[in-house]
Amino acid sequence: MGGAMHVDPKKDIERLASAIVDDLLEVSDEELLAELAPGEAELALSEGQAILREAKRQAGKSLLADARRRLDEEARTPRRRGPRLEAGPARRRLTAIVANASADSRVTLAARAGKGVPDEDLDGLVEDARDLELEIDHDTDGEPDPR
Amino acid sequence: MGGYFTPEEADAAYELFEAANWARIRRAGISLTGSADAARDLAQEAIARTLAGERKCPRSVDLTFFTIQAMRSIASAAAKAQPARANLPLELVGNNDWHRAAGEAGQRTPEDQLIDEQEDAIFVQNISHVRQRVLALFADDPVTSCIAEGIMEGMEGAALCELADIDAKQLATIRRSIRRSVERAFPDGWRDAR
Repeated sequence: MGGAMHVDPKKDIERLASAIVDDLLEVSDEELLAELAPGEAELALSEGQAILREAKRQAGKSLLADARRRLDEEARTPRRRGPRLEAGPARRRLTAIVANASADSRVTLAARAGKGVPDEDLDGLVEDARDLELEIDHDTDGEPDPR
Repeated sequence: MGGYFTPEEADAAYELFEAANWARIRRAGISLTGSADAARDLAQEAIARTLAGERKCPRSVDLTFFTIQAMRSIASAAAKAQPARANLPLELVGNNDWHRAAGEAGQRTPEDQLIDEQEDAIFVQNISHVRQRVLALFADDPVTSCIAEGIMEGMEGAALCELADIDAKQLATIRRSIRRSVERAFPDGWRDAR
C-alpha cells in the first residue's frame, strides 16, 4: 500500500471478489432483497429457473454418460453367468445334459464326447446348454463330488 | 439429522428457491467470474453436479450456501488447471468440463501466442483500471479505502482491524459497504468494465 507497485492486479480483484462472496454468505435474505436494484429480483428468479432447467438436463446427460461408461466397462470384462459350480457337479451336469441331448444337433461333437473339457470351461458349457434349453437330469444335479 | 441430501431432495429444494436465493447465487457468480454470462454457467455447473450426485450437500448446510461454495470450488479448480492463461475468462466447454478459455498450449502457433500475449496485456491494463475504479469508490473515506486495499493485498480479520484501528464489528460493517458499493458500480461484473 501507500503507492507500492502491484504486480498482479488480477489477484487483487480476485481477493476482493472472494471477500464480497464471504459477505454475501452472511447477509440476511431481507437485507439482500432490500439492496437489489429495481427488477433485479425478477431477473434473478427467471434466470435461476432457467439455470435449474439446464442444470437438470446437464445432470441427466451426465448420469446417462456414467451409465453408458459402466455398461462399456462391464462389456469389456469377462462375463460370469450365474454362480460358479464346483468342477465335479458341473462335469456331472454336463454329462447328464449331453446324455439327454445326444441326438440334438445343437450339441457339438466335442461336448457330446464329454472328454477333454477343462474344469474352468464347465460352467460356461452348462450355461450354454441352459441357453439352448436342453434338459438337465435333475437326479444327477448337485450330488456330492465323489472325487 | 445427519447425512446428505439425496439428488432428488436437492432437486425438490432447488424448485422451491425464491428470488433471494437466486439473487444471492447470481451476485456470488458475478463476483467469482467477473461476468453475468459466466456466472450463469458456473451456477448451472454447480447445480448440475449436485443433481447428478457428484457433490453432496450435508443436511446441516443451507443449499444456497452450499451451491455458492461449490461454485467457488469449481472456479478455483478451473483457475488452477490452466494457470498459464489465467487472464482469460472462465467458460464452459463440453459436458462438466470447465477450464480457461485459452486454446491448448501445445497447439498454439507463434501467431496465436502473440495474440494471446496482446490479449493478456489488454486484460492486465483493463483490470488495473478496474482496481483503480474500485479504490476511487472510497476516495473520500480513508478508512474504507484502507480496508479495501488491505483486502486486495490479502489481509483478513484481525490484521485488517489493526490496519485501520477498528474492531471486528466495524470491520463487518465496512466490508458490507464495500460489497454494496462494488456491486452497484459493476452490476454485470468487472470483466468487461472499462
